[in-house]
Amino acid sequence: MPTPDRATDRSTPKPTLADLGPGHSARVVGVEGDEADLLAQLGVAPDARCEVESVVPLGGPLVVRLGRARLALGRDVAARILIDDR
Amino acid sequence: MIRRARRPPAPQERCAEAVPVVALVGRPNVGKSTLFAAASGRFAEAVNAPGTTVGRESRLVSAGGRRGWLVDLPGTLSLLDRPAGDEPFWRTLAAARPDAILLVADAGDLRRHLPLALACRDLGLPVVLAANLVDEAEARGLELDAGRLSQLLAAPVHLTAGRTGRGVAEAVGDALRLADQRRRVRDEGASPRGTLPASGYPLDVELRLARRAGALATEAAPAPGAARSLGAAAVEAGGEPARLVASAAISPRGAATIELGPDLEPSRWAIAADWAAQVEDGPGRTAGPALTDRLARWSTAPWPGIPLFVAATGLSFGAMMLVGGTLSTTLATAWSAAASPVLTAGVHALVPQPVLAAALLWGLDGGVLAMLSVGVPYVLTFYVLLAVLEDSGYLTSAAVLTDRLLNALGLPGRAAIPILAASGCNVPAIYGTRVLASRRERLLASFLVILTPCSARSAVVVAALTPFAGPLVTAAAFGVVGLVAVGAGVGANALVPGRQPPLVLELAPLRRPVPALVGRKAWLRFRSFVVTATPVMLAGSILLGLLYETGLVWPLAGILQPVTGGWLGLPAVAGIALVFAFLRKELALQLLVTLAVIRYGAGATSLSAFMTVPQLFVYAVVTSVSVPCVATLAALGDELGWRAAATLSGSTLFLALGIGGLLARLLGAA
Repeated sequence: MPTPDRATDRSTPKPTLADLGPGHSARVVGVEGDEADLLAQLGVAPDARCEVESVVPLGGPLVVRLGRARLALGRDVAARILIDDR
Repeated sequence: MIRRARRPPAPQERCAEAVPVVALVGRPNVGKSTLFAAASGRFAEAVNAPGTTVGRESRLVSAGGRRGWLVDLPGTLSLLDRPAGDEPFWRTLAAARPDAILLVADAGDLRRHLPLALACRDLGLPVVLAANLVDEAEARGLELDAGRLSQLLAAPVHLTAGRTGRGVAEAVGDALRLADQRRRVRDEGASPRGTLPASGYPLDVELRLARRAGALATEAAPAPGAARSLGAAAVEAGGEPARLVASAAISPRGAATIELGPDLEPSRWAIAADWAAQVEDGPGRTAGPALTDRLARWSTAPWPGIPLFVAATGLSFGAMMLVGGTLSTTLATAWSAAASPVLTAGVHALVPQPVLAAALLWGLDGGVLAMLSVGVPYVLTFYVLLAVLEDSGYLTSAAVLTDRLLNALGLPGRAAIPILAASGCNVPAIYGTRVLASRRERLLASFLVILTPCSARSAVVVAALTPFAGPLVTAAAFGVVGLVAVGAGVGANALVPGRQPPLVLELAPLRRPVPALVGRKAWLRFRSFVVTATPVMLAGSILLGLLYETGLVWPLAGILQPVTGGWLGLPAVAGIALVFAFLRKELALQLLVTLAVIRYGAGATSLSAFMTVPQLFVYAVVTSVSVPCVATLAALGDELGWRAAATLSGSTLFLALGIGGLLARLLGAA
C-alpha cells in the first residue's frame, strides 16, 4: 500500500519524462514548477500520453510527441513532468 | 438609425464602425496568416490598414455578398495567454472590436485546438470554426464530420485549406453574416447577451460562473442605449472584464468566463478530447507517419539532424553571400555609372560653396552608395531567407539542436540564426533577433551580433594581415575576435539582470513555404529597415564629409592621439580611419591608405610602409571589435531604442580599446 510520504522518499524517486529514452512513451500524472500553466496550454497535463522522440546530446532538450504536436522541452522542464511508473 | 458617439470618431474608426469586424483567432502555426492572405488576396477591395500593434493587420474583405474588416491577431494558446509578451490575449481581442470570431483550428489536431474555440464561444460572441489544414489531415487519411462538430459546438464549421483557398470564402462569408447580424442587433439597442448552449462544465464550476456572472450584472447595470463595441468599451474602461459588462459590450457570463478562465481550462480540454473522438474518423488515426512527419523527426534527431543543420546553415550562408554579393556589385555599379555623375554635376551647380557641395555629396552620393552596396543587398537577401526558414518551420528544428550551446550565453537555440547571419551583415541580423521572445534575449543576441565580424570587417582583417603576415596571423586575429565575442557574451549574460527561461517550445510543422507570403513578410521588414536606416546613413555621411572637407579632421587626429598613439601604439592617421570606418567598415583600410598618402607622401601607398605587423594586428582587431557601422547602429536604434543602441555600441568600443591596448603591449607595438 503506498504511503502518503512516498513523494518525498529519496529511495524511490518519482519517474519523470527526463528519465525516458528516445522511442519510449508514458502517461503524464502530474506537472510541477512554474511552467505547469504553459505546459497545460500546450496539452501536457495529467492523462496526456507523451512519446520521447529524440534527445539532443550534451544536455540538450528532449523532443516530445503529443498526438499531432511536437514539443521541445529543456531537460529541467522534463524533469518536472511526472509520469506513470509502469 | 443614427448612433451617438461620445467623441468624434477617427477616420479609421468611422470605417470600422460602418462595416462589421471579424477577428481571426487561432493557435500559433495553424495557418492563420495563410488563410488571411487567401481571404484578402482573393476578395480584397482595399489596401492594407496596419493596426496599432506589430503583427496586427486589418483588411477590408467581401465574401458572400457582405463586406467587413478581417483582423489578423497573433497566434495564442488561450485567451489568458500573452503571445505578445505583455497583455493577455483577451485584451488584444477586445481592442480589435470584433463582432464575430473566425476561429482557425487544425483539422488534424482538434483535441488541442478546440479548447480555444470553447473559450471564444463562452465570450458570447458569434463564432465560426474554420477547420483548417484539412488538406494535410486528409492526406493522412483523417476524415472529419463537420456537421456533427457544428452541432456540438453550436456554431458553423467549415473545412478549409488556406494554401489552396478551399472553403475560405464560405468560412469568411459565414463569419461576416453573423458579425453583421450581431452588429444590427446591437445597433437596435438590444443587449448582446449570448444565447449559449449548455456548456458541459462541471456543476461546481457552473455554479461559480453563474454566481460571478450575477455579481457582475448587478455591479454593472448598464444604462439603456449604452451598447458600444467591445473595443471602444475596452479602451475607455481600461480593459477589465467587469468594466466590459458595464458598457454592455460583453455578457456578464462572458466576463465571468475570462475571470474564471484558469478553472475552466481543464474542462475545456476534456470536452475537446471527447468531441474530437466523436467527429474524427478514417484510417488516419492508425496510419503510419507521412513524409513530412519523418522529415520533422529527422530534423531534430542528432542523426541526421546535426549534419542537416550544418548543411542548411552553410547553404543559407552561401546563398546570402552569393546573392547579396551579386546584388551589391550590380547596384553599386549601376549607381556609380548612372546616378553619381548626374548628382555630382547637379550638386555642384546648385551649391556654389565647394566645401559644402563636397560634404553634401559625401551623403547623397557616398551615403546612398553605401546603402546600396552594404545595407540593401544583404538585408533583402537575408529577409527572404529568414522568411523561407520561418515559414518552412525549420527554424524551430534548428533551435532545438543549438539550444544547449547558446544557453551558455544566456540565449535560446533560435538565436543561432541571427548570429550566423551576422557574419554576412550585422544589419539584417539585428532585425533577425526578432525571432527571440524577451527583450533580455534580444539585447544579449544583438550584443553578440555586433561583435561578430561582418563580411566588410572580415575583409579588413584579411586584407590588412594576409599580404604582410600570412594566413596564420590572420587566423589568429579571427581567433582573438572570436574569444572576445564569446567572453563578452558570457560576461553580458552574467551582467544583464534576469535569466534564460527553461525551454518550452512547440515545434512548427514542416511545410512548403508560400512564395507570396514569404515575399510579403520580407518586403514589410525590408521597408522598415530602409525607412529607418536611410536618414541616419545620410546624416552620418554628411557630417563625416564636413569634417573631411573642412580639414577639421586633422585637429581631430590630434585629439585622438593619446588613444591611437599612446594607448594603441598606432600612427595618427589610423585613428581618423577608425572613426571614419563608422560609415562603412571597409573604409577602415581604403581611407587609411588615402590619408597616409596625404600625410606621409606618395611613398605610403602600402600599409607596410607606415605600419608594422603588430600595429596592423592591433588595428585589424580594433576595427573588427569596435563600434558597429552606422547602418548597424540605425538598426539597433530602430529595434531596441537609442539608449540600448548607445550602450551596446559603447561597450564594444570599450572592449576594442581594452583588447587593443593589451595586444599592443603584448606584441610590442606600443
